[in-house]
Amino acid sequence: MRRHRRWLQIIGGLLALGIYAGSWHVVGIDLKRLVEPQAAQRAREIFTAFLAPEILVPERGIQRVEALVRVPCESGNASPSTVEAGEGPRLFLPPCASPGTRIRVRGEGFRPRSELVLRWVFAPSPQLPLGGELPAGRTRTDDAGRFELEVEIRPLLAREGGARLQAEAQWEGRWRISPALTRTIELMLQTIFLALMATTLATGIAAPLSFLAARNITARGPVGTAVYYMVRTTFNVVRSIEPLVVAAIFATWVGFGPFAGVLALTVATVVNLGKLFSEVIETIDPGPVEALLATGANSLQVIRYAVIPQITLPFLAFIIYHWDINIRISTVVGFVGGGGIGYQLKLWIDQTDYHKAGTAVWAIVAVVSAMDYVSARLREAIR
Amino acid sequence: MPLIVDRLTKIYPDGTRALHEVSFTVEDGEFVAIIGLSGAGKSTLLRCINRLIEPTSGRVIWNGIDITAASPRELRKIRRQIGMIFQQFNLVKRATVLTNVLTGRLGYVNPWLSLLGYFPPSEVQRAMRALERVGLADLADKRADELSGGQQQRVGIARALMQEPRLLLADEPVASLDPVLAHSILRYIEELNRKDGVTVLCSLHFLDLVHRYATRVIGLKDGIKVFDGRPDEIDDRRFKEIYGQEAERIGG
Repeated sequence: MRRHRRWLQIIGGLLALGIYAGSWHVVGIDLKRLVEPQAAQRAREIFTAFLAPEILVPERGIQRVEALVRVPCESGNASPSTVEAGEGPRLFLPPCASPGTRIRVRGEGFRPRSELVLRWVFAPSPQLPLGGELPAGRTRTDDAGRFELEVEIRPLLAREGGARLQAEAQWEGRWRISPALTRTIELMLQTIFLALMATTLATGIAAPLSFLAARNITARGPVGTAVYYMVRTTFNVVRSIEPLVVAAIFATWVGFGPFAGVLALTVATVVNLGKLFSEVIETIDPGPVEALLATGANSLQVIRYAVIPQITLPFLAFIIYHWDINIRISTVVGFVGGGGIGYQLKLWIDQTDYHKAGTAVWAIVAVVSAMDYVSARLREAIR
Repeated sequence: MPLIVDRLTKIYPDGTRALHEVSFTVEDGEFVAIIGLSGAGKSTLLRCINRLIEPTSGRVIWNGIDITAASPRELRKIRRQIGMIFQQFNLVKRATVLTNVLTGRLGYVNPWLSLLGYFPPSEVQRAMRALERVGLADLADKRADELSGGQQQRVGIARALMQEPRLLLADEPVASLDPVLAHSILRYIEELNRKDGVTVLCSLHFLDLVHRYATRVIGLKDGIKVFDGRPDEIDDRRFKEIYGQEAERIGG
């Protein structure tokens, strides 16, 4: 007998070992991949971006003027060409130059103390079918918005017969809330409302259903027992389908967007709350029910006066708890087409826009943990 | 208008025989104490009378109506004339005292309005009178679970008063209370019995209480009626028949 058990232990141990070895192989666990140079580089990129979410961005200002310079000069015309752009910046420079020389370029009316870039801009030509650009120099404008710079006329310019010289002043303005943050806040609100709607709709459906799934209320007589088992079984079957799967189905059914998300979360919440509610109903004190039946009250009166007062607060606690859960889930239903912040987060990740993705991730962290706290405090308060 | 209990038998689904062919007749105005050990069938007997528990066989006839054959609708009409108080008081703890008392009237008021929480002012006045009668009028707005055990049982009595009962079933009404409070509760029940002429069936644990309040005693042992007589007829032999050979009389 004892040897028998020993063998069973050995066989059981080997079997377990085999299962684990097989699983390791099947899921392709390869820890090296986490730290391979390329992977590590990507991870560093993602995480540093996440640590610097895009919250504020500087307002970018740009002024741009250009003037044509012919190379080489055809006649001895040396009067400076002037480009005026109304009240804006003006550029002073010779209209033509010989290759290998330097010309003096002057500007006025630019934004004071800003970055100034000069570049040659080539029109499309047989040699340069797409046109092109060539850096010509950089400086800063002075307090009056002026600059002066010498620019070299390189032989390349002669080959093109000249080019337009572009002066571009760039500066960083005030910091403003980034469009990514605005979008994140907008979608986060959508996410919270999505969870709120789903929780509310689900409560309306689950509350009456839960009475049918409560043994002490429904499981009386053959019909009641049948109804009880039917509702119970439905709850258990639907509960085994993850909300994300349900969301994917609804996204195909009613189209991508928050409505699909609301439907999916509602279904998931109905079955979960239905089960939780029915357990609350099953654990009420039967004393008041008995007492009211003895006074000649009918079933609805008994539910109204003996059952509901006992279940209101536990129900409320579960509803708040589930709203919390739903906010958590609604942040990801967007990944499968359910709307909310998840949809945008997936887009940003796919576009490798990790700073923006970081904004969304931090917003999720903030909202979910805040809801966690609020829901815990609310549930404490109503106990 | 007697209460006739005729060969009442209750066998629970698990096979427990809680009552076996119990028969007796109670005349109007009697105060009947039901005694016996825990599990002798006292609670089952009381609950079979208003069919909170369905008897397996036998009949209960009251006012010439066969309660055991009544339809659900008729049964509610009968139940509203039978008050009941419980060992654990069975109040709705989170509701106010006044609401608890008003629920005693649910069998009489408009059922739809009552579902909305509405009781006519006349019923609210009736509830206040019931609370005055048990000395709790000033606690009407308190939550039931803020009251002491004795006070809660008085609310239970006020709830039964709302039914204007002709018959009162009391299931160990003082077993959860301090013995000092037992008399205060039983005096209210006695007053109902003497002044209002309500017939009382009351299960009790202590023989001294039985001697003090009951006009008649029914003894149960293992679901069988082993005694039916006046309290002063319980001598040592009868006592051992009801409570078993090992039992000792204390007090009373």
